[in-house]
Amino acid sequence: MSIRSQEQVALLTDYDIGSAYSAAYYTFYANIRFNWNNEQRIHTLLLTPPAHYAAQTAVAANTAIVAARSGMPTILVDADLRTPSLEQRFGLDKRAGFSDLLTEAEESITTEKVQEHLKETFVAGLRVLGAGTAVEGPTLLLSTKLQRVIRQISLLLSEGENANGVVIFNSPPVLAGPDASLIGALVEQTILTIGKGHTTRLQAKQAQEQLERAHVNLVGIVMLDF
Amino acid sequence: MELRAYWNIIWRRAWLVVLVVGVVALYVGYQYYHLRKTPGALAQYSSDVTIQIGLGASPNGAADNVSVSESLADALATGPILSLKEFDSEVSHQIALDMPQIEQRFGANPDLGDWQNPGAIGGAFSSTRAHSLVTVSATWSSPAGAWAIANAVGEVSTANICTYLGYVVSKEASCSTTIDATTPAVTARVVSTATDPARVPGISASKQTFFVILLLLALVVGIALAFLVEYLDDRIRNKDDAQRLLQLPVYGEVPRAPPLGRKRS
Repeated sequence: MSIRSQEQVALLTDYDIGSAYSAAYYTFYANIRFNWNNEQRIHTLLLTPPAHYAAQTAVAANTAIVAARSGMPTILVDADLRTPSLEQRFGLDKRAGFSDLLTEAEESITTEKVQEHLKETFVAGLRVLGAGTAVEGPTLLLSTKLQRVIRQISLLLSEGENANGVVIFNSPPVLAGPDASLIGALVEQTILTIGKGHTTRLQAKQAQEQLERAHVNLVGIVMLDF
Repeated sequence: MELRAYWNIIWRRAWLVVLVVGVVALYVGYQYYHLRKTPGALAQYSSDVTIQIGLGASPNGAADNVSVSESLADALATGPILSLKEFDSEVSHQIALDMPQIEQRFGANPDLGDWQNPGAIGGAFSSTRAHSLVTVSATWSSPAGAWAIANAVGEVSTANICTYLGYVVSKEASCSTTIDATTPAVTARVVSTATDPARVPGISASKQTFFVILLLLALVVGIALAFLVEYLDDRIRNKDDAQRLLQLPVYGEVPRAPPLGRKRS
């Protein structure tokens, strides 16, 4: 694997906590928290780029690592059913996950079911819900039972000791299909990830318009240099 | 936009500036190499010889002689004599005869350039006149050649000027070129021998300035292209760009991932 590719898949755990790279993610997470409603215990967050680029998954993964390290029980959901990669990043086996939950009957989607599909990672407090193995069309899967799945994931977190936590979704790019808009419409906050020197103004504007059309709570942007 | 922003644009598109300047530099370098290889293109040498034109003893008055001498000097300075093939061949021949003198002055096997070519010699002359004094300048690609030609011009003129310069005084209306006792011979003497050769700009010396201007122009065009490409480039470059465009707060700026250090366990 080339050095460039290694950088693109590198997780925050590969770096010293005092490095500028780590500090940038801690600052980013802090800014997200400043925007949270304190009365709410479970927070849901979507990180999505306007168009595809290699480092996009690292943002969701690293933000989840920071959240978990900050003491917040965290579930990282790989909602990118088109090109799933989070399990590989965390060195986990590919098995049933998010897409399999979406194919379950409505009443079968329970916290227990969610719990079954969650995988512990090497980061304390961080669990990953992989993309899963279902092969049905991603958009079709998302448009039917997504709301219930998100509710069950949130419920699972609220059953924990502190009854608080954060669910972070990694989705396909906004302009790649309606997936990001569908998820964004159901989460508390959506943040657009902009790749410096990669994302065009047209892509960014179109993505924003698309998210606004779906009544997504687009709260801010994060700039990536890669 | 701040100066730093302008600099960032140029720095980002430095490849374009380097490409344009590089291509032009290659062309300039190639042309300059050829100029350097061409004798007399960038630098030449000039040597002057001053000749006084006069007349031999004649029954006419001295005042007439002065007037005629000046006219003849004018004919030498402005006429076609210096570029005549016969005259130039004689100069070339004289150089061959002067070779020992030239070698004594400039060392063995001096660089005389294309001195055996009368046509080239004819093109090397320029002249000025003051009364009966004619100053002939020989401009040549080598110092030895310039001096040798100027020196030979003096010698050829002194010995054979009457072959090229003369006038007709006839008692009859019909044309006659026969020189008789009433037409004194034209004479010439060297007043100032061939001067030490002086370096003068070559025929293509001005091209050096042109090359410098061309390189500067390439730099300007390269920078202008860099700004044009930047203008046409739609990509978001910094957080200010993104903020202005989307009217959203920037929650974070993640730098490029550094080379991997500590591996996860």
